[in-house]
Amino acid sequence: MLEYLNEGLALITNLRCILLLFGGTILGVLFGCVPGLTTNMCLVVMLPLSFTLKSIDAISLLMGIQVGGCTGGLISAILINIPGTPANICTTFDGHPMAKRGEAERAINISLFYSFLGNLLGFAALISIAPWLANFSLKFGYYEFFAIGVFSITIISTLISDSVLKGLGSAALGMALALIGTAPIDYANRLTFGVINLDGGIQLITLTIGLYAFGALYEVAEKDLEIERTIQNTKRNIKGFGISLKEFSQQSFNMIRSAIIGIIIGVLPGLGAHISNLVAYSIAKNQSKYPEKYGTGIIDGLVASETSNNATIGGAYIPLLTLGIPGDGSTALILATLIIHGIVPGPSLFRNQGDIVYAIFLLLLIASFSMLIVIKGLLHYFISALSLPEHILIPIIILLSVVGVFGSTKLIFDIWLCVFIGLLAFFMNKVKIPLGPLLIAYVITPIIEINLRRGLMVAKNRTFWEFFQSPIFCVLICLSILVATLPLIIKIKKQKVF
Amino acid sequence: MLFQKYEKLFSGSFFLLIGILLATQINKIKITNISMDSRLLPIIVVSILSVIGLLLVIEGIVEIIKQKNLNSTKLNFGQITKKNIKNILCCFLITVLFVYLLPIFGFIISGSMLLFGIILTLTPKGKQYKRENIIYYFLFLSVAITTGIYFLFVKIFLILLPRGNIWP
Amino acid sequence: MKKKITLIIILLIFSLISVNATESSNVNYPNRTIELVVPGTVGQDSDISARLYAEELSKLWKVPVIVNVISNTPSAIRLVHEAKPDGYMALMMNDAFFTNVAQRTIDFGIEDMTLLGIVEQSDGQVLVSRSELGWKNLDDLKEACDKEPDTYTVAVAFGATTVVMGKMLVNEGIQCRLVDSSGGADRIASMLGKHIDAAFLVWSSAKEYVENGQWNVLCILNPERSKVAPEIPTAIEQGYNAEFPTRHFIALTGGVNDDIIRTWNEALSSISNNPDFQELMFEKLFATACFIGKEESLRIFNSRQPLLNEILGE
Repeated sequence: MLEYLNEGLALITNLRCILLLFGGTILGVLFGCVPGLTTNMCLVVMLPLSFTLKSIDAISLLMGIQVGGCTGGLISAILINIPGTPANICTTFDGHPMAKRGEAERAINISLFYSFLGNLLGFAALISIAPWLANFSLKFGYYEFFAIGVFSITIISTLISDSVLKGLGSAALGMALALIGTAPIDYANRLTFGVINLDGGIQLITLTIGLYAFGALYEVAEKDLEIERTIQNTKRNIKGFGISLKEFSQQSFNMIRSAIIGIIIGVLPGLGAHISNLVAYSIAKNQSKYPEKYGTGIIDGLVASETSNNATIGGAYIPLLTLGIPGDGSTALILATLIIHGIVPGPSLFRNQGDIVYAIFLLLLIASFSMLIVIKGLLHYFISALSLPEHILIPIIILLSVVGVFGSTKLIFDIWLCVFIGLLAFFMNKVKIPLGPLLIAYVITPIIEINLRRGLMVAKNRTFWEFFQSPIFCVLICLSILVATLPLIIKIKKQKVF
Repeated sequence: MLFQKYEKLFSGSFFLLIGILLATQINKIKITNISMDSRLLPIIVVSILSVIGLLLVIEGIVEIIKQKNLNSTKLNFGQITKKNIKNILCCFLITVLFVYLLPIFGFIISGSMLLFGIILTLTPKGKQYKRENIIYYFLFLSVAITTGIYFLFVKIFLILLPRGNIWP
Repeated sequence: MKKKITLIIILLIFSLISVNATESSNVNYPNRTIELVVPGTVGQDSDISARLYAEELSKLWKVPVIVNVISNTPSAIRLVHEAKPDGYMALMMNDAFFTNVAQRTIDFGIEDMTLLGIVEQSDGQVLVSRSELGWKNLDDLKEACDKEPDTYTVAVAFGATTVVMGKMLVNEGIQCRLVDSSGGADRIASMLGKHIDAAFLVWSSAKEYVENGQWNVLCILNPERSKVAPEIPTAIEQGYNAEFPTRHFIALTGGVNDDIIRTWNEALSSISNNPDFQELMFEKLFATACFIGKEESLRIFNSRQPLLNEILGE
């Protein structure tokens, strides 16, 4: 192992590799912090360039983008309440309220710090228990993924703070939005109203931009803008990362739990950071001693969201390197690059190209530091740029979001959807229907449905009872029932429904 | 204020309406015998939406009836003034026009129009914005930013944006 | 004030002229970015081969050629079908186009597009099973399925080409149960996790696991033995009429003018017949780069369509 470590170190310790890593990080941060422009889009843009580079140089560029992009999204999430990427949705819940209170820089610093720690924990899992985790992930088949989906949906109950009915209605609406399009497996068109462009369904990027960016447009339009409004950042020049040792120790359990969630979700193929931040935030709120404070601007929410989404990166590399199976969309692009460069991920990679494996490990570690340096270094410029008057900033964000949506989906129809989803978001905010349950339900419903259907195909008598043969399924379902019923019973007792 | 007063009624009606709208599409879903029926989840979702909508509407009506002073239920726009509604409508119409013109005129013209229109709509009416040539400044800004974005993404990042059908 | 208005108008006109004048479709095709639309998921073989072609086209034409991977296959096909007939958007995909026609997820055929030709041929996929099941060939699988019909699961992707392969075997009397999966990576994970008994995979993905004894390869769905893995018997050799080699083609939307078609054909022919490129494709993807013109390509695809309609039409 030491020999491979040395060889890996030798591969990456050259100026070009490090410069590409930093360059990739800067690019990733820029793409990540602009709503609509996602990490995946940046990776796709840079992929042709990466083919012309040497393998390790290509990997360092793409890895820098991946790490930078995931973290860059927190900047716009905190400053303008629009997540830069779907992996930062939950960062808006507490990050923006902190920014409105004049703690924008502190919120960003704390999020950055925990993103860094999330990366390190993901890295630690990757180098220490990758084979074990990979084997563990293989135990998850269709029954188990279905159970994970059910568990994730039940966590919705924790995001319902006021009306239970509105929260459940929001979740049902999210499910409905997820069902629009062709059904999996049999490709039956559902809920498309005969509109051909809806056959592909509503993409996550379209929904996120519609809800947040276009929704923000109508919110700003509604305000009585007699005076200029910008982000009030009264606390400047934060020392360190804006968190005291006491706060750090108080958040330790939250951090480790969120990292574990992020790593596990990263390891399980087909999920991704957009799910890990929702699940980690919801569990953190569910287990908190003061759940009512979540959403008002407490650091716990930031810790959960940012630790988990960055830990997912390290987790996603585990099945990629050990089995050749990408953990999420970004690692699928990395896989394509590896194959083009003649590196075939899988069980034999560790034996035959151990130097490449360790080079990748070390690059992930260095990428964490580069992300920290880049964002810390550019923080004041970001804050200045995003402190433009709202009447100028919001239209520019809208235009960039349109670029992002069109760049991802290539359909003008999706921009139409954004306009009307924005109206929907505005209306939902007015009548206090929460957005969180809608997003979770939207993201989780396809996982539930596809795995339920495939599970039924695989099951011996094609009955649901076969699912209970899986111990993991049973454990997760029990947890789901526990998570779902307790808070709801408490809430219903508190509220007078009739 | 209107929305806040009749929150439950509005939200309930909204869910009920969506439920009914989606219910009209259930029968159009093709029935196949591959694995589970594709209609199952839509039926569940539509049912949940309709039930929740109904419950919220009932809750909303009960709340209104329970209010002691019936005069206070008069429509009161409160914080939403006519100016705000005008702004919201303007922004909506500008974005609709933008998306409509995007495939026709392309990104630069439509984008400039979008930026200019929204900036003008949202600009506060304070003294510092009453300068004569502020409109020209905004117009210049809109064109410059849109053109810059176009060149950056199309030429450098190779992310294609609509060119417009009027160009050869 | 007049100066300012003039300045703005000049800026606008300049922007429009500089953007569009040099990109006129009628002047020296191609003179701007070309988009190659690929249905599927990023990182899969279709994506990689499209990127290799895109790089070569870009070098040849000195314009950027970008690859746009769209996961929803009917949407991807429709996007190209409805594009402007200016030759700047092309579709690169495999026989899954025709499975979509058979399943009626698209309401037009290849004749409604401008087929340029077949650019890549790959071997049919291999059928692998978990080694603990003890199956060495299709007869063993059939025997097991005869003893316990509709019990043993074979992973395919409904809506793609592997479902056709699976149904071919079912039609030959192998009473296995076809189970949906997302793609090659999903099938590998399901096989390794022992959630399914057998799966169709490309040989390059399955090779490692076969060589280390985790899986047995039962057959390859090729008309003849593969050059890459000549030791694998075909299904036909074993008495089962099932073969489905994969062919990738490139097509433009309908109504494209002949000059543009000629430019594409010349480029594709020169790239595909380049020995270095052929070696690269073989090394990376175990695929054969070639260029089969429109007429012959149509003959090949049309000869297969009735079978697809029969298998998938129900």
